[in-house]
Amino acid sequence: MTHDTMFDMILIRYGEMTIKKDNYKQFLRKMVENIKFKLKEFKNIKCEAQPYRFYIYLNGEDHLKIIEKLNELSGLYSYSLCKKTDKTIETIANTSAKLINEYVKENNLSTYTFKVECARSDKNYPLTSLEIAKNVASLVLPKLEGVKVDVHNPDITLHIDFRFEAVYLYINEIVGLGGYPSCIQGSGLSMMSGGLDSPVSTYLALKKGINVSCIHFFSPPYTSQSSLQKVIDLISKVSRYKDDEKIDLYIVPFTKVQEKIQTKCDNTYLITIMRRAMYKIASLVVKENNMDCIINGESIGQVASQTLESMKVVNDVTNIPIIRPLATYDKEDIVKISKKIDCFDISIRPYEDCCTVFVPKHPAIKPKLEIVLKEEEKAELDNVINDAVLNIKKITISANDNIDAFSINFDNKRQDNDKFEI
Amino acid sequence: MKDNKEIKYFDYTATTPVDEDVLNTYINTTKKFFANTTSLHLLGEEAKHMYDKCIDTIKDILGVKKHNLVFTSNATEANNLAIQGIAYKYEKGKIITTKAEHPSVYNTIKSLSDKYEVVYLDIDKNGCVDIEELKKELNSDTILVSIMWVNNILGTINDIKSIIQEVKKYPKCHLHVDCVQGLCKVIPDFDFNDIDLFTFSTHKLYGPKGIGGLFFKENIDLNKRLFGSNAQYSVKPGTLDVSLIAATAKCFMKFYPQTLEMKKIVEAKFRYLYDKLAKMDGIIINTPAFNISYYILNISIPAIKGETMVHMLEAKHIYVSTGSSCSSKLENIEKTIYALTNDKQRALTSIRISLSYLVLDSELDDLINEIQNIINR
Repeated sequence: MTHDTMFDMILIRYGEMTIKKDNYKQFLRKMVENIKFKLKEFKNIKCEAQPYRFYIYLNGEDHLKIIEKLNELSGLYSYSLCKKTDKTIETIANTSAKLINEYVKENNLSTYTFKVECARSDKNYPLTSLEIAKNVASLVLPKLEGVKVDVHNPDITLHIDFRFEAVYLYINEIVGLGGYPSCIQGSGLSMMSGGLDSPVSTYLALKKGINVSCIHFFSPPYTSQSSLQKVIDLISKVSRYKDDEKIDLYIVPFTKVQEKIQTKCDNTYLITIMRRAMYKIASLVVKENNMDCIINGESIGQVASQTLESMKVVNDVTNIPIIRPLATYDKEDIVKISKKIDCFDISIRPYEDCCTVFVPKHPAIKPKLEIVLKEEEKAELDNVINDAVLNIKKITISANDNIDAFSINFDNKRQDNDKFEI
Repeated sequence: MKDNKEIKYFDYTATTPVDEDVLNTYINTTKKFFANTTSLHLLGEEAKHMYDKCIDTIKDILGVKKHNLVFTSNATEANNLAIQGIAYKYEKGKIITTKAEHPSVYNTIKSLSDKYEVVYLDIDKNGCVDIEELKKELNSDTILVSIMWVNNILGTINDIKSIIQEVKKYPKCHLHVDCVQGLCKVIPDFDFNDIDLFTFSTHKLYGPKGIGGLFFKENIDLNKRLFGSNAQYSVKPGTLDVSLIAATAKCFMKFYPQTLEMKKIVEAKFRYLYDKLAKMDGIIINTPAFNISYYILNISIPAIKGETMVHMLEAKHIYVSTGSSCSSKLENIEKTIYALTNDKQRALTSIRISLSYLVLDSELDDLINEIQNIINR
């Protein structure tokens, strides 16, 4: 399959990982592995890894589809579509003119400013990079329409990468996700409610290279199977940003815990105690699976349970580091990212989640730890929490297949609900 | 379900016919869950799950939060376990009950009278416990107060709300309430959560016989009278009959929400019957006019012994009762009527007509006419 483009390769620049001197090799290996996994469906491409650079030879594969896939890879700083040419200035100029005209047509530019930049690693070539740029520019300019030269703020920059083996030409860089190669750091457990924030914080954690699993607190009949479906769909979307495009989800049967808190504890402390119970359960899962941290979507001051005072009291149940990628984000920024990662439309589906049921009218904004501890003692939560942990259901969600929440059996005993009709 | 249309049944306080839906639940559960709830395999787990679900259902319906529920063979056993379970926790102490209790309470407490100080409260002219009397008897030695909610002979309703208030003043004292004749008949004005122990019987609620239940507060460690496994908190060990339990849950599901509707139907029938019988010469109405469940109308026909009356009506396929059916075969006079009236003759000649939403108006007329015929004879 060939595609109508002049470009024959993609040049990829690694991102933040380049600052990691000592374990650079390890990072590079993981990055290359991730790129190859991501592009495995493109059978004809050829990859070439070099320090600080990565080349993909298209060999007729659809460059736009590949770019789409690259957009899901963390650890990439930027990439550009390239054209390989030989080293004569005339060929460079002719090819450059064609590239620019194609780009101008694709982007509907009538007038634009232009600049040529050259980097020369082939030091044996008789011209300096400045001279190459100047010569190419003078040959290219007459072949372009509606163009002005602006070396400070150009719309189009023609890059000439003058290397020993060949010359690579490219226009403009596409900005990548940044961050680190997926799953290069330790692992973490992300708390997923199904709302707007948690998928975004999960995404940000993934982007930073954390090997993320998710935990969801499921409270049937207070929350429906549809709300679980929402969580599954969100994770499916977010899993595109993970190295193997698969995320484990721990589903915690939380009903009994919530009911116990609801019936036994002071109303204003419901949320605080509920969140502490969630952290407790999450911590147990983290410890059992040798993970390193808990991740959640808390944003300072967003709701009563996310004031600093609240966080302090809630945080007190665990000594596991809690990463809050959204702590300082404004809602608008969160929404922006949510839209970018395709989660917004799912997040706004109107089902109850574990945080929206059992909401007291006046939750404690500045909860006191002593009172919380007393209330917890009253409720004797340990048994129900243990039960919940024992009955956790783990499923694996991947980017490609759709899991139907209604098909998940939570308990051998409850496969056939009609059976237990009284 | 009474198949024979000729039967005119007015003994619903003794027992009720089994409701069709309840019977279906019983049959279906029997087919689906025969396994032992304590077995660890899936079948056992399923039976256990069904059992748990039934318990949760019943507790939810009654709004009971801090009680354990133990199923017994009947309310008599439940009352025994409750009273003995509390009494034997203590070496000595005072137990307060009434002269109008059901034999399963009255005789259980009587059996304890050697070891414990037992007081039987009188009932007032309205057939109820006098709260002032109770107040006088309550002291810091009191370990148990056992008072029924609705009287099974008269249908009178005790003021459980005030009794709860009084008993609460003595932290050591437990309150046991026999709720057999109150559940699904009277809307409670108290909270079940405020009663330490209470009992019920399924067969009074259009369910099968062979099952009753005892609710007791989670923090009460009942003295064990039976020994076996740790099933049912070791209070009533032994293999559970999930079918009977499911049938019980079904009774609560079907009838408890209809308490008010059924009461309205029964009250109309009661008033009709009351008006007709009150006008007849030779009949004394024992059931007071107020504070009653309307499910029971107790009358005395001084000219005819209660037992004779039962048989005379029976000849016409009309079924009433002399008193608490559990004791009516004894030569004893009806102690509740005696306690109310202090009149031996009235107690001896009393009959109990008990009603249900199932009673037809035509059946009521047949009853009224037949009583009239017998008196006129």
